[in-house]
This record gives sequence, C-alpha cells and structure tokens, in this order.
Amino acid sequence: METPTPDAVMAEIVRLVAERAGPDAPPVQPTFTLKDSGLSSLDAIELLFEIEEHFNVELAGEGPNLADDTVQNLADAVSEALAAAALKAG
Amino acid sequence: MNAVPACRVVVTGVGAVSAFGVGAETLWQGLRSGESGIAPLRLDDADRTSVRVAAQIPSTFLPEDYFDAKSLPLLDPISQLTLVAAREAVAQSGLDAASLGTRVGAIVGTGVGGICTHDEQSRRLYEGRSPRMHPLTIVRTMMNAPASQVSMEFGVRGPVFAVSSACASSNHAIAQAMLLIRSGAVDAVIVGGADACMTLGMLKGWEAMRILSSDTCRPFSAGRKGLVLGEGAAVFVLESLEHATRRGANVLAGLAGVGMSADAGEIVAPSAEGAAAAIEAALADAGWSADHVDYVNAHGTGTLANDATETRALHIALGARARDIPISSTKSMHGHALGAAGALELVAVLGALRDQFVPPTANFLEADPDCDLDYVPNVGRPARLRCALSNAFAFGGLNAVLAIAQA
Repeated sequence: METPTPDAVMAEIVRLVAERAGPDAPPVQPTFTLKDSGLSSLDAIELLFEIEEHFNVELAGEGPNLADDTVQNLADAVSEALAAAALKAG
Repeated sequence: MNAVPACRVVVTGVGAVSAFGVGAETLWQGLRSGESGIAPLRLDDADRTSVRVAAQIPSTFLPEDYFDAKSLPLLDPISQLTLVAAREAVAQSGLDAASLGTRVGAIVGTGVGGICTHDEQSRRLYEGRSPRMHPLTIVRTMMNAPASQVSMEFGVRGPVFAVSSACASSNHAIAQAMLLIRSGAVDAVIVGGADACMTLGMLKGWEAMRILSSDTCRPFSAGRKGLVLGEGAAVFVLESLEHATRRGANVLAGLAGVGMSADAGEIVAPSAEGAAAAIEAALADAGWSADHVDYVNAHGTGTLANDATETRALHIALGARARDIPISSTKSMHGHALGAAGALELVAVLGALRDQFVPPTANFLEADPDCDLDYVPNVGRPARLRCALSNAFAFGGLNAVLAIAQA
C-alpha cells in the first residue's frame, strides 16, 4: 500500500476529530489543540485508538496533552510513524 | 486540641501481601523508609507491551509454600493473596470466626476478580490450543471467589460477598463492613481488598488509556507521567468495640467513619467536588471537623488529572487545614494495586498512627503549581497523629474515604 501524503493524513485526522467532536463543534483547524476542537480527555484517548487502527501505526505511549497537542502535531506524528514503517518495509 | 469521639468499630487484625512481600509489617517498614516496590515488569509477553515497570508480588512468593496441592487448583492468584493476608489478620486478632455463627461476615473488594485464570484459559481456547476450559475456570474467576475462600477457610457463616468499585473497591468494602457492624447485624467482619491482574490483556488495556508512567510513579510532583500498576491484598479484622473488649482483643485503631459519593460526571475524568463530598461525608460520619485531621493518605495515583483534582478536593473539604497537615501517596512505593489500593493504604495508615510517623511520597522531583500542599516528599517524618483520612477515587466517579483514629 502506498504511504499516504502528509496532506492526506491531515485530511483524515481532521475528519476523525470532527466526527468525534460532533456537529456543534467549530470546524477543525490544524492549529487547534484537541481541547479547542471540542474533545474531552476520554474522546482524546479514543481518537488516538481510532487513528492507530486506521493507519496501522503505534503512537507514543504517554497520553495526549489536551492543552498543548495540536491537530498538526498529531498529523505529523502519524506521518512520521508511516514513513518509519515504509522505510522498514522498504 | 479537639476531643476525638470514641469509635464503635475497631481494627483488631491486619495482614498484607504486596510488592514488598508477605506481611503487613514488611509493607509498612518499606513504606516508612521510602523504599520502592516498583521494578521492571516481569511478564512472559513483556515484548508485546510498552509497559516497562510495575509493583508486582516478588518472585520469591511461592503459592506452594502456603497451599497444598489439593487447594491450589481452586485458587486464582487473587484468592491466594487474599487468603495469605487473611491468615495473618485473623491470627493477629485471635478471632474465632467459626464460633460466631452468622454474627461474622467476610467482604473482599476487587476491581476485576480472578482475571489471571480467565486470561490464561481464554487464551488456550482462542488460540486453538485446547477445545475446552479448565472445569474450575468459573469458580476461580468469579468476583466473589476471594470472599468465598475466606469464608470457607475460617468458617465465616454470616454475610459474605464481594464489593466492586474499581480503585475504590477496598474502601467501599471496608465501609460495608463498618456499616454492618454498626447496624448490629454482625459483631465482626474479615474485610479487605485484593487484585492481581498482571496479564497481557489487562496491561494492554491500561496501555491504551495512556495513563501509565514509563519510568516510575511520582504523585503530586512536577514531571509526573502517570500511574504504575501494582498488585496485592490486605485484609483486616473489624469488630464492634464491645465485642473486641469482651474477648480481650488488642485494638490497633478505630474506624471512625466513612464517606461515599459519586461524581455522576465523566467515566474517567475525576471531579474535585465529588471527591470533596466524600471527604466531607467521612468527617461528618466520624464526628470530626477538618481540624481533627492530622494526616491524609491520598489517592495520589501520579496521573496529571488525579493529583491536581485531589489537591483541589482537599482544599475544598479541609479549607485552611489542608495546608497544615502532611499528605502522602504511598502508591509511589506499592504501586496502584487497583481493588487492593485502599486496603494496602489502610496498612500504611495503621502503621502511621501506631508509630506516629508519616510515610513519604517517594520519587518526588519538584513542586507542581497545581499541587500546592505538603506531600512529605521522599522522606518520612515523625508527627503527632491522632486522626487520619484515607482517600480512594475510582474510575466511574466512585469515591470512598475512610476516617481512622488512633487506638
């Protein structure tokens, strides 16, 4: 399978965040923290699970930092994990 | 100094098995000196989890040393730990449960019951290694197995059941025992809490919640990364003061009160108001004011959310007194033993009241602005202790706080 581009990863993450935040939340922006996006702490850990399942990657063990971690940080972490996996599959 | 009201329910026996090994005194001496029971994880499948540390029962604990070949197949590790702790508590108390008919009970709190058995047997089945389960799978796994095993071993014929409220299971169990004795329904209860759930499945479940620490447990400290799972059991003999006095039992401490509340909020996010309500209820039940409290054994899991929220709860419930008293989390040493947590922590409180010594919060690095109380960082200290609180706040928003008085 071809590795998705960073833009495609971002689009998918924005979709997953928006789906979880619900229709009343503001439109998701890359600079938003998960909290800004309308997610609770429980939402955040469920989101990370969904992302890991969707992209088949492992994200770092310690918890999402709701106040500081942005949607962009999350997309970058997934893209890095995908690139590392592609390299390994080489 | 405020007079301390007399306690109608007293502790006459204590026993424990923990990361420090067998024995309540072994546990207390470890906590008192600030030693850590946290060590690299021992698990056959350790390479399949990112969990690196845990507070496990030492590998020197051999079930064969405590149980014969006929009884062992009936006992999941959780029941083994419970029975070993119960034997110590009953021996110390001198309680002859079998002579009390239905006037004695046994209650054991557990978060997950005999999960080691369930995990092991399910794995054989699901991996296709065996088409059948061991016939004792159910009776080893069931939540009430530890309580039932205590009942059978000591001839307890009154109320016997399990209590489950995740990390508050021990305190809720002790609360039930106290209320049963106060009601007059029974004279004594063998009560405690236990959990032994170091299975790959459970560890992966915790890992997915992303609240486990990768290094160690640093409650209330800046730089804390989360909790460290533990396992163990602690068991107590509780009696009415009248019953204990009549049979000349040695009273270790008084159980002055309990307070219970539920957040009715989020399933995992703690609530300062909910926790404070339980602390306030415990004070009211004991007939204490905030000024009575000399020590708090905190829930103190080492997660970002719990420790800041618990600090707020202590400010709400104890007001200015919160700043004047030592507060420590012994989970920094015995780990978070889930359903056994409150019971292991009650061992710490009994030790503290007996020795007039506050155990420390280990692994403390530096102050966190969100945690602005005296957490007794790294080194324990002598103190005048008459009254103590022990907090337990569980997932599901379930809070139970014990108020314990010096004998």
